[in-house]
Amino acid sequence: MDDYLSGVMSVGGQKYALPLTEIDSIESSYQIKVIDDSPFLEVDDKGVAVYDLDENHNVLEDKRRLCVVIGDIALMADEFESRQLDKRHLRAVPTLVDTGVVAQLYFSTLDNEFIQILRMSSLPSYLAGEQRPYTTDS
Amino acid sequence: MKDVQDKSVSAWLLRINGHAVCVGASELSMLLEAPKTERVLAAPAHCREVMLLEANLYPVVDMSSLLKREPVDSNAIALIIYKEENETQASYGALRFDSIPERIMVTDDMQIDMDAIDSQLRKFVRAAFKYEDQSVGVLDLSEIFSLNNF
Repeated sequence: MDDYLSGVMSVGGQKYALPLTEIDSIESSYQIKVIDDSPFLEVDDKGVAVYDLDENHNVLEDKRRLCVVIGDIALMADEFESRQLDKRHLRAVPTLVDTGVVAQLYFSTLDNEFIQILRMSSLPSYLAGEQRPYTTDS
Repeated sequence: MKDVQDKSVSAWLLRINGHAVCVGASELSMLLEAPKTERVLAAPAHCREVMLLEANLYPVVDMSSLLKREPVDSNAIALIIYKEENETQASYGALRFDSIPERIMVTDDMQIDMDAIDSQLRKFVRAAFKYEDQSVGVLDLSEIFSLNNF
């Protein structure tokens, strides 16, 4: 029970993990539509707002990215993989654990890898407040 | 003279956003030049990074945000040991600073009024002293790394 299955997204050089069971589908950014500068995907006949966790990436021109659909939101990702994360390698930073959207900070001592584990309950409010859907250049 | 020497304590004099500050010699565990750090999503402005060191993660505090100043272009980070009130175990955190610290000796007769310290910095300082015409604040590390600032 030291492992659990996660989806690991690479976004702008950072890695974010979330339980694989939370992920509804993976879509292509080719499918993104824009209304009033707000990008969205049509998934199962409903509109899903698209967000980007990379603060430096605010254009819609890159069509080579993925959209990880989680309920009513989709997160842009450069890469995605499912992975067994080893809980024995979880490292918490006490002062940061309870602050933002990040529930735990994962650091693998095996390969010097840093992964932030998203706290799913905080994600929608974070995206609605701090992080807006990215805008188009036009 | 002997009496003064007995009461002196060893400290590290640092600069943070141009301010002269100090920590006790035993509170500074390690000085690092450009250690590996990572950005943390949704973390507070003054602590947006963690430092990876020897299989551990440490929050990195950049006081420029707490002091409402522009960040200083420096890769120097100090690994700090501090103790929170009512805690028996020491905690660790990392602090960005401007330049190479200086080891100094501090004595009681160097103490000055806290009014000599910059008003923004004063909240994060627990005492002040004069050293070579500089007003130096003794950093309140438990306050700096406190959850109250997050």
